[in-house]
Amino acid sequence: MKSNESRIKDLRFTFHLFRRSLLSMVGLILILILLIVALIAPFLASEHPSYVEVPTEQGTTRVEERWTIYFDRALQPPSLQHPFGTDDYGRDIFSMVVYGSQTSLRICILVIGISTLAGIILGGLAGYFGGVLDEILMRITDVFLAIPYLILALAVAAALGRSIDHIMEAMIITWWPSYARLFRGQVLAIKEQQFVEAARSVGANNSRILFRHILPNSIAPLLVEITLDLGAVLLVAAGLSFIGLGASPGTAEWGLMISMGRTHMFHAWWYVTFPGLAILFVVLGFNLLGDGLRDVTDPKLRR
Amino acid sequence: MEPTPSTTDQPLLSIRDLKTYFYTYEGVVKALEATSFDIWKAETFGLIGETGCGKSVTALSTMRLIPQPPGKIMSGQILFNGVDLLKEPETTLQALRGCAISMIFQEPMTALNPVYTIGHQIAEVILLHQSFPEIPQKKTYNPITRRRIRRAREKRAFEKAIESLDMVKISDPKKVAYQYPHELSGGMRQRAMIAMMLSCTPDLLIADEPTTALDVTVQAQILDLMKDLQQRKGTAIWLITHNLGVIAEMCDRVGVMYAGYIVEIGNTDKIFANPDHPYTRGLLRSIPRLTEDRRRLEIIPGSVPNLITPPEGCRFHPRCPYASAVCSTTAPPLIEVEPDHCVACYNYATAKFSVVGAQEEHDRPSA
Amino acid sequence: MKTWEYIVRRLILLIPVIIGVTIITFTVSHVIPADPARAFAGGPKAQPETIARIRAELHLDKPLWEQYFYYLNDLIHLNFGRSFLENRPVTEALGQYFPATFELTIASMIFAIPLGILGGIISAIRQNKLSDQLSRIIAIVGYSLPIFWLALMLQYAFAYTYPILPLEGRLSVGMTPPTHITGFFLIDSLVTANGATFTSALLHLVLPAFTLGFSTLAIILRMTRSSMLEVMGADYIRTARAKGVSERRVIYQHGLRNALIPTITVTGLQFGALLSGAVLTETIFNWPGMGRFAANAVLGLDFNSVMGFTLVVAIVYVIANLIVDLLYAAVDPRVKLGGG
Repeated sequence: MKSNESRIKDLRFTFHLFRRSLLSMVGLILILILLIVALIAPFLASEHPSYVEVPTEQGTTRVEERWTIYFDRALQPPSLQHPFGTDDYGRDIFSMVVYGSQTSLRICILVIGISTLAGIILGGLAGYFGGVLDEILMRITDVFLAIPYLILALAVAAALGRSIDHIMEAMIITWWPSYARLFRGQVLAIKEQQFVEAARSVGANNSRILFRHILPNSIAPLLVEITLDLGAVLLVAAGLSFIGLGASPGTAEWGLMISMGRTHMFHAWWYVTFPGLAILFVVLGFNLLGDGLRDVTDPKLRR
Repeated sequence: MEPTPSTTDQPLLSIRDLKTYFYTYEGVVKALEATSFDIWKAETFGLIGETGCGKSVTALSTMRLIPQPPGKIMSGQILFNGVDLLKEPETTLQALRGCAISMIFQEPMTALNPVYTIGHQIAEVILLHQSFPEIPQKKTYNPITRRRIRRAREKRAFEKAIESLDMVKISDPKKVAYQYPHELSGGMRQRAMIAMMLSCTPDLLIADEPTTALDVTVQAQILDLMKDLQQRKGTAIWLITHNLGVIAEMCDRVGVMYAGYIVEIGNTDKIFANPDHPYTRGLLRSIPRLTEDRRRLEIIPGSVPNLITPPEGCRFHPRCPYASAVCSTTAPPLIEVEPDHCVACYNYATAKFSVVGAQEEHDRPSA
Repeated sequence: MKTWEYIVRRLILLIPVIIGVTIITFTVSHVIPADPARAFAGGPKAQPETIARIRAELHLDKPLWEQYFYYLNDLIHLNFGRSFLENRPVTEALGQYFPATFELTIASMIFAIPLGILGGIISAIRQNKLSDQLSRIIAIVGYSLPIFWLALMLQYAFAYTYPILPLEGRLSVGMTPPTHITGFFLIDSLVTANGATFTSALLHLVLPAFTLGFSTLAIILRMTRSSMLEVMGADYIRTARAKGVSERRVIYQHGLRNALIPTITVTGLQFGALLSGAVLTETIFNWPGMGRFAANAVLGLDFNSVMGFTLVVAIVYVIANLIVDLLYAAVDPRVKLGGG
């Protein structure tokens, strides 16, 4: 446990170490670019989608993206007007990639956010209280973790039906068990340390211990995992969209665009290339950032 | 200038003006500046000093086991039986290591490879350095015969390994030889290390804090073992420690190191009886005695210097009550005070007869 | 605990996990869809008679837990239902497609594991030099790539721009597959001394195996590298040097032996990634394996197939991890079997 001044000194040293690593900085820059692009998408893109309400199978309505079609300028190579070229319906690929960043960001944040929350709550309770609760959680996560991520998400999404929301739900179901286990492991490790005993001996009750002692000390490895998983989620989401489970045709989603572009790949390479590069750079950014964070928080590597 | 004891003419190991630096992110750590001392055949030489004073660095430099980045042996000579080890190629060093010069380390818990059995690891050293006259060594190109010869050698080496485990008084050495390091206690592991490093009867055994990580009863056993083996095999022992009691018990001669320099060196009894360097005197004074009644423990004021920016001249001078002008400009050379007793201090005489140190006791510290 | 006892014990412990997986597949197929009967009958295009028939077949009017027991019973009798798309039992389809996926997966592992380990060792030895930095960058790009995009790029480069490799499929068009002995085209054609088929099968394997294995290669390289770096700084390495062991022996006999231990575990986990990746890779290269089958089934709303596929993958993955655990225990003497 540290006092506030030593925490600040620690933090400063952390930033210093981080800045020293070129690759981590590159990762940070890539993610910042993603955030900025997603934020200023309407100002960056030259064309914009419209949103319509569409009835779903269940009887409710759902919002869908619609892009204006210009058949006369279909499949044009990259130019000044269309930096990434146009697709088979004449839509500007650059604008679609830019707006796609919003979709991707939304997917990543929501999926990781919710699964982390669920995982922390369930894993924390299981780890802290132990006993039957712990056993049950371990068995359940065992089962979920026996199925590789993409395939589990595939099965669930197939059952739910085709839509971005559904693949997000499928991925949340897929991802929470690993967070539950990770956090449970952290809690178990910290629970046994002496400062927890010390806190208990002066009368702290369970929730106080959980929040003020255990949580702050177990965040670090979780943060690394979250950053790396943001990239993994994007890859799985793109994969699911590519197969045809995610966005409906016409939406500007990177995986879907690659799938659409595949049929035209040999005479319109730009259709497949640019959305793919977008995915690559975003995932690369998250991985570099996560790596940097891991190097910086690993006690063995800190002098 | 080293005194010559009565025995042989040439020292077994002669370190002259050894300079070892470490190039780190924070700067250049000047670990050893001009370390010089000799070790004679079959004697036990102790090297004592605080953590970080350079004792281990000296030993590792001798074996040329300093990790090359960030470390670097800048200059000096390390004469082993007359041969300068610093000028020899790596292959010569590899032939000497484990065979003529051996080293055992401080942490027996981590110093053994966890995936190989004890017997295997000891046999490795034997296979590397010993010949097996009883096994025919025809230069045959037949791979099957070669394999058979190799198997025979390995088997014989393993048997010898068991013998060496017996030599270090491990009960049931055959069983232990088939065990893995994690199945043994710390004391047993250290014995195994000693067995391993003495199996080829080296001329010099360097023991870097061999008992620091063990508890006291085991400590005594290990030290007894080393003494016994030395007598039987005639190995010189270079014992590195920060424990004065161990020095008193084990060593014929001792060198006191401070911040990369040898500050006092010579016969153990003489140094303990008449410590001349202010640092040595501080060390000896700071040991609490059962027989006396004191309010506070004696300490040496100040702290060990930063070796990236060490003090000019004598590295002890900022903490020394007798420091004079010359101490801050030039490092003092070793001066002979009496036969087999040298000090690196300009003012040792003043220190000896000053009022400040009047309350010293002259009896030897007990172990 | 003896090895046999351990294996049996672990296999027995597999059963609750597999049952758990069946609960998941059951929930996903029977509970989640709004109208399971319609889902099994082919979705929105289903005929009312088909829906009614399926509803009776699946006992959908009975309570859920009873449905589950019918489901489990079917599974135990290896009845995974009927593939709507291919109009045959799912087990038959999976049985036919399994060898192709297996061959692809093994090929990608043969590609990825040795290269990854070698690359990791070299990287660790030349730490921070140019070759190290380069291989680290390639590795990190390697597992940031979307696998389906990599596949497409490779197709474009090597099957179109410089057409040195085939575009898709397992064999050249019009070629008959070798006599079915193992189902592995490479082995079968070799055994039947069918040179042309062997060459064709090999060439067709190159791009898909590379695509599938690339991210695994990247991860194994990084893992080996960091593991080697950690191991080479250990005390026992210094001891080995102090014994006079040559540097080469120190690296390989003392260092690598220890460094490979965590790599084994990682390889087991990577197997799951390989199975997932197979779905995408097979789709793009039109590889007649389980992955492509599953992707088509998903699109075609062929529920039985998707669930059957999921179950098979889970079983294979769990068994693979069991094998990895055993290997780990065999290699690291500190692990006592039975410690779980």
